[in-house]
Amino acid sequence: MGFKFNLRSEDVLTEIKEFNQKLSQGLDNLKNVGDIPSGVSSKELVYQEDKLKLFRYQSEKRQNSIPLLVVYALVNRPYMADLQKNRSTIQGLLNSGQDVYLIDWGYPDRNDKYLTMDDYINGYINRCVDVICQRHGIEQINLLGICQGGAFSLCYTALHPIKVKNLVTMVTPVDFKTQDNMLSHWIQNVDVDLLVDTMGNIPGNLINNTFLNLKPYQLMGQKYLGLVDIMGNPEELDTFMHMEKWIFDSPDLVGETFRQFLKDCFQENKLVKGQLKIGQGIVKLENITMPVLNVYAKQDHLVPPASSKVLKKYVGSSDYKELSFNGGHIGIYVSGKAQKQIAPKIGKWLSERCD
Amino acid sequence: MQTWLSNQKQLIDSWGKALNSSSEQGSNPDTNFATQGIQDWWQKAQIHSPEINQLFDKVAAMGNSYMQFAEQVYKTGNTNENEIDILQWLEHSEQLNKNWILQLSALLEQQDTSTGEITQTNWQSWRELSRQVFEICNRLQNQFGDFKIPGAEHTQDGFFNLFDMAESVFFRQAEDEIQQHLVHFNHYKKANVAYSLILAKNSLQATQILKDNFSQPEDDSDLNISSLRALYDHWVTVNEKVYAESALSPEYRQAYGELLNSYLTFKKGLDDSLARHYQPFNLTSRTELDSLLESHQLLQRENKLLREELHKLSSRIDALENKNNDGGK
Repeated sequence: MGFKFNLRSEDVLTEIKEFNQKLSQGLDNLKNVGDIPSGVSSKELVYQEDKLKLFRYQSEKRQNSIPLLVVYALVNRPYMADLQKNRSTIQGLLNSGQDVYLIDWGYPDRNDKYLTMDDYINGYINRCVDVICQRHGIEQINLLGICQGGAFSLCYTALHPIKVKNLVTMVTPVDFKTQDNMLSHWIQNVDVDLLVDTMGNIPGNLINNTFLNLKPYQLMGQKYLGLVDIMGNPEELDTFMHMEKWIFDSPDLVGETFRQFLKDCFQENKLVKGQLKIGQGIVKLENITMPVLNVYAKQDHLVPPASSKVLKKYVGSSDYKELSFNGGHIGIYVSGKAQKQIAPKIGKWLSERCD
Repeated sequence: MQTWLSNQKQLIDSWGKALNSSSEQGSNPDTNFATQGIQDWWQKAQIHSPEINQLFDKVAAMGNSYMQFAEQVYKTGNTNENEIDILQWLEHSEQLNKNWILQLSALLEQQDTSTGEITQTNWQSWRELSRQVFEICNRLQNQFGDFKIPGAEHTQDGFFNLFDMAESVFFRQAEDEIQQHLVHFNHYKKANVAYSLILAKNSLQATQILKDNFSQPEDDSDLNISSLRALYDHWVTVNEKVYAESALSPEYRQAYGELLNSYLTFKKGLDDSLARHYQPFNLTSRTELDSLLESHQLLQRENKLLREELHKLSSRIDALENKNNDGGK
């Protein structure tokens, strides 16, 4: 494959000059970016326990009598699903008539170091489900898990199937050892016990750096050149800044939970082997017999599609559907086309199964 | 030991020269004509919110890196005909990469054969040389697409802070304890060099692919590079692809694991030593604090379970009472 190349020396100098001009012109716009909110939709706090907060989003369009609980990952912050007015999965779900609750895990500190997966799944999630059921006088809710929160939701549903009417998993790792899973590949030789014993809680910026290193040239370099191109456009700059804030808003990860998640899931792939022990129970994915919607992104570099799609093989549901998105792990929540394609379809799928 | 230190110094000096060689090329009086613009821009930036300041830092760093790229292309590819000779620039880059690989391999070999004992007399010079090895690795890792090892900032800063503490504390300890820390440190240093070597090899491979791409231009090709930005974007695409393949290889996995594990082993050793030193001063160690936190978590868990049980019992009693009341009516 031959490339034609014709670049004159004076063109290089012109480009450099133009680049510096763009930087100067964009400086004022950058300086004028105000405070960036952590989530935009109105919500009320309905339950609080330790650092966890359970929110219910306000909406006048609630039609589905079965509320939906969104369980986000422990990595990064949940407002990615509610980034801007026109880029909000939460808004999309509300608009489709869902009654949306969301768990915000907060920022763990040293005091939380000994929280286990059992505490998160059989403790926090279960109590949030109970709170919602009690508020609505019902026995089952709809559950939507995102990324690691999706894996937690799978565990929860397998252990408490009676409490979940419909399950939605989004960009959720199920088989942690697919060949194209770079993150998993790197972790295999890491001494996880040594890591947790030495660090305690795992610093959020270490995890974040690891994610950025999956595509270092693009995510730590090229992306900021792209920023210079849009600096003259306040609207695009605002969107960039919302994303940038979210990307680097990384809570520390609780040590003991991180230990089990990495060893049992990433290193030993126990979720698909039916060997994952949470508290006194073993997670058997075949216990998931309610309707399942598995949403994945075709260009996901964090959770490869193969890692998610394998769920079909393991769940016991006869109503299993997939929804694919032509984009990446983050684009599925924040891109313009995702607003039209993802949340409305999830909402429709849920509404059809709650009559 | 002194000979070993002297050899190390020579190697590192030649390294520094190799790393600086790209910016010393050419005799253009405007040596930093492009990066100067970024510095000027940075001067204008006012202090704002932490988020904006962090972004200023990143844009300045990226802009600087891009302008260095521009300077290298311009200086090494410029011809008398006012045209950029892409192959001339790539050959220059290829040679630099080969030099880096040779130097890193030599550094790695020295790490393998060095068995000298570190004492209080040679500690300072050994420490300084070690610091330079890390600086070289960091500079290299930054050159390859602004690459950073996960947690590198923590690692590098924390590492030398611990070493500063180590200097004042450890020479009062038993010699074998000091030597144990130094063995761990050497493993970490070696792992860092080995990791950098993989990145240098990736960079060489990417450069050779770029050379192949431009060696046989096809007149009817749609692939046309006619701007600096297009060249940079293509450079990113090729480097990212090479990196992605390398990052899925067994060699990378091993080097990554070694890097993290060796650092953690070293850090844990120092942490444990420090904890032992706290004891005579009656200070609470991290181990003791952790033990308290674990007990606290156990109690909290039991409390929550008890609360749930109480809630269930209370609900049952309420139900029974309601039933009795209904029966009474």
